[in-house]
Amino acid sequence: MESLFADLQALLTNERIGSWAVAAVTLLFGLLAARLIGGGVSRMLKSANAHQAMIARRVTTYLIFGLTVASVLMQLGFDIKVLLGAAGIFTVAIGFASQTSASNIISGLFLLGERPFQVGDIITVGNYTGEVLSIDLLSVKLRTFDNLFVRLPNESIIKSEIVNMKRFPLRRVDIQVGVAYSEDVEKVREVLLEVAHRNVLCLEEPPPLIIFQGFGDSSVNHQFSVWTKRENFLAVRNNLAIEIKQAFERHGIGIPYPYRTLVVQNGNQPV
Amino acid sequence: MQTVDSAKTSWWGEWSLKPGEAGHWEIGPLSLWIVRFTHEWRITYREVREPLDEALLVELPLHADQVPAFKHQGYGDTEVSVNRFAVADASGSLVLEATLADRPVVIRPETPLFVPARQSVELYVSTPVWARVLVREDRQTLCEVPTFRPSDTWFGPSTTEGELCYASRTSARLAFEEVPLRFHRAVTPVLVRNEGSDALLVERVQLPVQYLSLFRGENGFLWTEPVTLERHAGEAAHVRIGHGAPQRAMGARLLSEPRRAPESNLITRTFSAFQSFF
Repeated sequence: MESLFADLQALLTNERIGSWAVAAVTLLFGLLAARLIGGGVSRMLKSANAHQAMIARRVTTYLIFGLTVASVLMQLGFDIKVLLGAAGIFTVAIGFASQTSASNIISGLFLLGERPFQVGDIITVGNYTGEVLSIDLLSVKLRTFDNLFVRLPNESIIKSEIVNMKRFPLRRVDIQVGVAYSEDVEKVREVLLEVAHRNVLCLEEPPPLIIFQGFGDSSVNHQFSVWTKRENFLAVRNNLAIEIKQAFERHGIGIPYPYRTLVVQNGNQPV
Repeated sequence: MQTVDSAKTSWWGEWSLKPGEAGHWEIGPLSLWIVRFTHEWRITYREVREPLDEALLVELPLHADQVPAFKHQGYGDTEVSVNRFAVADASGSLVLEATLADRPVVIRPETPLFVPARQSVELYVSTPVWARVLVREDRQTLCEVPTFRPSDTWFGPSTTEGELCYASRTSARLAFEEVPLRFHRAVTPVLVRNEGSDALLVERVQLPVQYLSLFRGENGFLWTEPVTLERHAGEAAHVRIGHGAPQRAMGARLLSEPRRAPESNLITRTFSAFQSFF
């Protein structure tokens, strides 16, 4: 029993094991501090801007984590200078092996600098449209409107066109309207403007537009464009279509549809 | 049934209802019903699209059954909006307050109006008021209903910067005697002072109604503080809000405070907005 106690005492007083214990405790506290301080900074900024809060949290967390790792390594007797030198050579080797990741990281930094979108914006990239959940080191995460999670690598985002639907406060709703050739186009224009005037969500200014699109196969085509507040886009688009149809019916304006006349000739009967 | 023909009275104030009773207010284009139940206030309204309707009628008490309770009940194409407010105890009185719009109102004269250089004119413009429903002794706001919901409009130099406002057309009358008495619109005297060296075309005026109080004159008119727009050059104008009711509003009584604390110096691009947005 006495020998066991002596062994334990020797173990605890052993310098090497002591430094390992201190290093472990430092690492634990460092991780905890990185998490807590990062969370605190994020909460402080969250009310102002979710995007900045996320970046601030990342930077704080990574900084404290890096300092903790350096401190732990020093605690364990490693020479940081040598390690950094070794890391330089190591990075070249890693760089060749992980070109894609490195490219994503660089692209991510460009995205953060250029800020074409922020967390919470609605964007369209390629075939995907959704809300930006986060902009990370390697990828951007989206939630699509049918509730799917999409991870888009930063590299592909930086190469493709991005449409940000939440950048500006107003949106224009475009509706294609075709009317029969027999209709009075001037009257059609008046009816359309009246529809826009009666819908309170359509802005009076910028004024609604009616743009002549061409003489179609069976109709005179116009584009009817009204402006609305971004949030009301869908409501205006849906309601306006109903209101236009009702107004046309009230004023006896016909919306034509393509028709085909079949003439059956007696001489061409099958044998 | 007690029917109050309000040619001499008003639609705002304190009203009392027992459980199962309702009140009906016709305020210009707005029809408003408020029903009291034991644990619920039900507020129903519908707006007919005639902004200058001059109806004013208060009927109460009615029986709760006489009030439309569903979206499409009894009014053909016009939908009614039904809102229920659940409360632990629906005792206490009901207060209706008149208040001004919650966003600035952009007023466009029906015909273009020019103010020559170094001239000042006083225009009378009117904007729709909102009916605010409050209950209980602590005057808790249940909801606000516009007597007429104006169309939205944008006021700014481009589609990327500016402010969402309500749009209103005005005759911009220059003589007070021509201003009609309407119980659902507040009249604002706007003094336009053109200190510039060229004539000023008053195409549109952004009226910061959220900084204005609402008064009621002895003659029944609803008034706001007078507003002075002073233009030196270009399109920017300094907006100054006067103190208290206008001089014409004799014996004016304060009906509601401004929604936002007035700022000492408001600058606005008041006279015109932008060209084309295509």
